[in-house]
Amino acid sequence: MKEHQMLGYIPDHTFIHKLNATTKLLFFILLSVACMTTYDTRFLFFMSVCSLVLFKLSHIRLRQVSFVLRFIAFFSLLNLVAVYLFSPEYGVSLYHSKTVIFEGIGRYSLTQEQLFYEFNLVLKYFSTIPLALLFILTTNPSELAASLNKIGVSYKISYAVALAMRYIPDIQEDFFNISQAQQARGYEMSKKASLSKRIKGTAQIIMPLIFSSLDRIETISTAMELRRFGQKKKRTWYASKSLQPKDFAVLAIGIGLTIISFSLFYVNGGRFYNPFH
Amino acid sequence: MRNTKIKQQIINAECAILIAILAQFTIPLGPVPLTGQTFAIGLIATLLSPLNSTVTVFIYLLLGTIGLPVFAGAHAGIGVLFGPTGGYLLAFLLQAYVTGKVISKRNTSYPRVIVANLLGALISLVLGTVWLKFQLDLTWIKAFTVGFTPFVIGGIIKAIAASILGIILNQRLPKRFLSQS
Repeated sequence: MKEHQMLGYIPDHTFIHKLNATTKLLFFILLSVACMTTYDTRFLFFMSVCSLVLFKLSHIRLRQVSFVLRFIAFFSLLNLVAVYLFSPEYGVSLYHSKTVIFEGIGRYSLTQEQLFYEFNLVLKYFSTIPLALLFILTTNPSELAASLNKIGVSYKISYAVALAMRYIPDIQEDFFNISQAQQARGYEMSKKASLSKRIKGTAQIIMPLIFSSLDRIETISTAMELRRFGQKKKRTWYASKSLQPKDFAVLAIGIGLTIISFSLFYVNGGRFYNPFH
Repeated sequence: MRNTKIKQQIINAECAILIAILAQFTIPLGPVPLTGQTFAIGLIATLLSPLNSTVTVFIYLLLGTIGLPVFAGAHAGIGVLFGPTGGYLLAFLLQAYVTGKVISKRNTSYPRVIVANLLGALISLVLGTVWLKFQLDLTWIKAFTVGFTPFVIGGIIKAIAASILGIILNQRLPKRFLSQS
């Protein structure tokens, strides 16, 4: 995978790669819901460790996803800073106590409660981002289309999603090449350029990008037509796999973890685990 | 007879990728950066029919929901969709539909297209802010200060840019591309 590219399927023979795509999709959705709803630090920490272990087991090297990870890390950090800037005392209101670490200007004091809340946000990133990357990197797009169809998404939409996944690297490659070509022609797109120049430069990329996509649309639609795509209400899938006992085991774990996440509502008396009381 | 439905489906998929790529495009403009996300949706709503632009946005949201880092800041997952900023994302569906609906294919004049894009952007911002208010339990004033006001100037710039580029593309793209849209 090229340095500047988004993500695509990386074939391998690990346990995770061999799982059914429907299983992986449902597992990812279940755990995303579980991690989204709770702010229990213990649960989120456990989930973060599990996510990182699964990532390690998938044999995906960090350099294969370094570009995307850097991008995500930058915006996640930006998000954490924004949370503090907009609500510097949100943690205080959540945990009903105030332990000042560093006295700041006005309401911008650094409190243990705010740090703890933001630590929970970091754990949320660590528990869901590796899972998201895992699902995308270990699932064949055709198999993904079949799995989306199995969980009730119409096969035409499923196929469109699979097409999009398959062609993201191609379109990104086009985007990168056009960008380089336009910069070589003198269009300024760096941070040094003025806003109007950068907008004009962006337009000079979008136009050729859309036109290059037209050729691809012609080719793919002809190929699909020749294969009689869309003639029937239902379709079979070349890459579809049946569910194995290991798939049911993984789904059971996913459901179990989601139930634990919801049961923590009663244990903690809400979404938040409060160590300050 | 050529199957235009198949071609339209592929156009929708390709346009969803276009939104995904432009969503990662950021131009710093003061405290709030301009992201290409709403710009791309405005552009696609200008080019395609209301239904197809809505389907395109749905595919884009589906790509993000299943884990592809296609949302602004390379974020992904169902957590983003139902998190504090999820309202903006879900509002994109309505933005695409309304923008496309206001633009009559017979009358793609600059004023009409710009008004359509501004209206779409406004819908997205308002619905996103309302969602933000209830998600974070903010007051209305705080919600609009955080989720609306900083994005207004950027939203106007992007709506106008999407309109201008959309009209230029409408004139240059082959009719067979747009006729079935």
